[in-house]
Amino acid sequence: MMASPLPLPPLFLEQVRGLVALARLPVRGATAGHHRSRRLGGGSEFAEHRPYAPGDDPRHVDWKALERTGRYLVKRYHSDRRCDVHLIVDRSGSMGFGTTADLPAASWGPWPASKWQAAHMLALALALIFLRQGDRVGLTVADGRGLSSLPPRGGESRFADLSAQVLSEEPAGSADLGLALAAVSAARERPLVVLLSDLLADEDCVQTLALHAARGSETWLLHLLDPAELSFPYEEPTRFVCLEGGGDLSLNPRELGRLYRAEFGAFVERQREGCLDSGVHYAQVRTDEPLQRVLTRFLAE
Amino acid sequence: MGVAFATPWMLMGLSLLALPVIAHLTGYREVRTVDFPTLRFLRESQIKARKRTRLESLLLLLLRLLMVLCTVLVFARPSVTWTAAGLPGLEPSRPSVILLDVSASTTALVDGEAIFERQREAAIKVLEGLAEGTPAAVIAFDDRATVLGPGLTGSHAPLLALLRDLQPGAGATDLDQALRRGRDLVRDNGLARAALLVLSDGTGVSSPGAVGEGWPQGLSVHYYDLGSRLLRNGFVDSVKVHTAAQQGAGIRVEVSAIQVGQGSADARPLTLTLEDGLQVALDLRFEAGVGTDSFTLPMPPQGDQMALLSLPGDDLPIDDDFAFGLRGDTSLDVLLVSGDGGSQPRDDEVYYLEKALQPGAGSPSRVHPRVVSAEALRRIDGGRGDVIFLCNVADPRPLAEDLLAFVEAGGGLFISVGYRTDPDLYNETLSELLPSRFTERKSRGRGSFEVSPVGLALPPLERDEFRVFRSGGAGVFSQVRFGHVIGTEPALASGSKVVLRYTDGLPALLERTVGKGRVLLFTSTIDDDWTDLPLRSIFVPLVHQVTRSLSHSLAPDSGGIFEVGEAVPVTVPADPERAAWLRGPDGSETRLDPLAADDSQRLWLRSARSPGHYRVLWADPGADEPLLESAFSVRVPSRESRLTAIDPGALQRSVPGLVFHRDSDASVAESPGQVVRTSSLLPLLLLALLAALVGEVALSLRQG
Repeated sequence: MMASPLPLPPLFLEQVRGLVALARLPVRGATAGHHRSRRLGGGSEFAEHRPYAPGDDPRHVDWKALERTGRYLVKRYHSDRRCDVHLIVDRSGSMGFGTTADLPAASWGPWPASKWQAAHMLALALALIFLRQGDRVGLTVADGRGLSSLPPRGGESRFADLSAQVLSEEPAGSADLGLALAAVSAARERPLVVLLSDLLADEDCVQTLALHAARGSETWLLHLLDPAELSFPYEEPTRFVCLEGGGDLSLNPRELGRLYRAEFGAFVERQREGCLDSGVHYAQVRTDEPLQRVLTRFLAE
Repeated sequence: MGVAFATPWMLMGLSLLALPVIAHLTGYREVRTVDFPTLRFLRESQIKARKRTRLESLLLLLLRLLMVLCTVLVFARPSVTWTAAGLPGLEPSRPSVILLDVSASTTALVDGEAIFERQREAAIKVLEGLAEGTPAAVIAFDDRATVLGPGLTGSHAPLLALLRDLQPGAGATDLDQALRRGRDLVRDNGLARAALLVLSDGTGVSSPGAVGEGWPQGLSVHYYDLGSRLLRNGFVDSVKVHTAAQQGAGIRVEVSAIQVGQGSADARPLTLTLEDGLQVALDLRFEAGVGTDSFTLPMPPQGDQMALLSLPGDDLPIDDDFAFGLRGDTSLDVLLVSGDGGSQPRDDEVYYLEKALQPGAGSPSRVHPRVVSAEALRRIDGGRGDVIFLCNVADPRPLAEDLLAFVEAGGGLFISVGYRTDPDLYNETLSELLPSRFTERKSRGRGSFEVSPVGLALPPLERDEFRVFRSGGAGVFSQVRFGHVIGTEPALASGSKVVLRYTDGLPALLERTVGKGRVLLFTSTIDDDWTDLPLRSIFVPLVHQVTRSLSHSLAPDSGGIFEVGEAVPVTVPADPERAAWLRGPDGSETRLDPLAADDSQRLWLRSARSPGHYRVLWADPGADEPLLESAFSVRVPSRESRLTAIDPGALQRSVPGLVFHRDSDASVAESPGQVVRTSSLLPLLLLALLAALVGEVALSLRQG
């Protein structure tokens, strides 16, 4: 079931506008920004002491340490830098699945009707947050038609470009997320990669994410799940049609509901453990949960 | 084996079996189409569930088919008919009368189970093997023949219930009477054709002609011997209580027992138990199947007492106990005639003897010794006791005639000697009482027992006087020392024998039977002049045993032992104001009816059918406690205890055409025979229907 893209609700935008998204690992950017880098300099986060040397700015002498140790020590700080962020959004057919359209409207607006709507809302919210911090944001959208990318770039007009890119097509086909990740990993700046996907099109992409993280690049994964995928609330004999073009299947859900839930639960758990083991920052996003709450919790962890 | 239906047209309902099949085949249908993100997990789940789902679906179909099938069959009311094993000779459609032996011998144990249980099982098998509605009856018989329940009936259930509650009795087998009763029952019901089935243990007797002439032509008789020929049994056959009426306090119980069966033990423990708790035992030895022995009770019983002889350890426990009654006397008078009074009490000839017989106040001994001189004995008019001890009397001549009469009448006389004993005078005066003539006084150890080497030889422990030393004390006899004794001639008087000797071979204690009484002669002193015997630990029990041996104080409760089934004469009060009861071995009481008594105020009881002791109690008007009027005992009939095998030939001569079934020693109940049985399948179908319903619900719930 396809649903038309939903413009970001104003109240939702209002609630995520004040959030801060910081990389968990030191970034390599050269331009000053909000993310901690390996360089020491004029940042706000204390890094270390070193003995005072002629030429050091006397304002950096730690007078309290002098009283404690009797030595002249100079405080050094991490340097805050800007980083490149690359959003990869899964627009495969399975992302078009949703069962939350009929939920009563929340205070912040209507619920996303599909995983795809939730994904593009989260992607645009993150883009808005990073752009407001002065970071550069790129975008790759993967679906059955291939990849369409925008390289990282900052500026006020960037959000409109990204919105247009994301909302240009409906979910269709099976996405090659591995190819999208490989293209981003090849970039010289090693951006912070944020993948928004249900991982159904390419289960192995978690391994690619892990490889990306192993190279020292920060990697985030927002795993989108519809409540019907988890609970499988079907009772009567049904013909199930695959949204990624995998044919159809007629069966009696009563006979194998318990087995399906066990299989799908094991799949979700495998993805989560794979991410945690490889240092990928992972979060499950149920489409029947307020997205701003999910985003707030994810960025605060 | 065949199946029949009471309402076969109901089987048309089997066409309903098509319904579950149709529902199964058409029940799976698509109702809607749903887009789903991926079918990968559904396919994996389907692969795992497919095998189980198919199996459950098939099982569900079968359960539903079974439900329909059972429902249709319940309405069609099927029954199954088949042939089953039964007793040989049994005809399922022939009216049958079961003669079930409940005599005492059927309680014999074979491999831990009573033969009666075999008979009961066989009787149940007979009833179950009879076609429904075939008239049947059960007659339980021993010395009586009792028709159980309603008599001949086509409804077998009440008979089966009565059979299961039936218990064997203790009476004797009277097969002839049972056959007559069965024949009369068939004749009274106007049946021209019937069968008598005798289920017995194969013991008993049958007298040709006892059943009567003219056995009905249509009445066949089958005798099933379900017993064993390998049984062993021992039982007390008779008891004799020896006493001298109204004299003395001792008692001797002579027991005669019989043992039948091959491989019986040579000796078996026999226990005598009195009502007051006294218990004595001995090993009863059997020779050629007969064992005799006797008990001498250390204390005579008080009043009437029940005595019980137990000979356990065989295959027929019901006759292991033999009850009989004892009538106790209250006292035993003993006269101690002292021939040497002495200046001090300890010097008296009978000082130790008197102390031993009456140890002190409160003593349980009921022996009452009285010390008298020889002169005083003559002056006592009729006061002679049950036993007289003549101790070192110098001149027995004035007493000789009376002593002889006393002993001949059944009294006991004990003679001991001493310094004052003149051997020649004794030989002359008491020649008819002495077991042997005296010779002369002989000294040992220079006349002092303290240095004398002479003691007593080992006593004959089988005799009543010394039986108490079996458990200890026999060795003390050799430690007793004697300084002087009076020798006797080797030749013994008629009816005499040496009971005990000194270690040097001289006779110490001699016995002579005179008339109904006995004389014991001790060839030394009864005090400590010549011997230290009175100072020894054996002295007190020895003189008590000698006293009891010389006296007999109990009279048997003559005529008080009857067999089960025997008529017992009981006297009831003539006074209509008084009442009488019979108290049985188990304490149960039965009111006796004086109006049924004969001219001699005697009732002839036939209701004492349990072995044991019975008491007849009388009650005076207004009295709190009834009085014991008389007592009697009932025993298992000895012919039951003997386990005499019945003679098939004699039986067949008595009942022409009788078929005797016995398969050596195996159970006839296991012999092949066939009967046709029919049983309704309704309970089974209802059970299957319930099980199918439960299974269907469980499977449906499992599949959601």
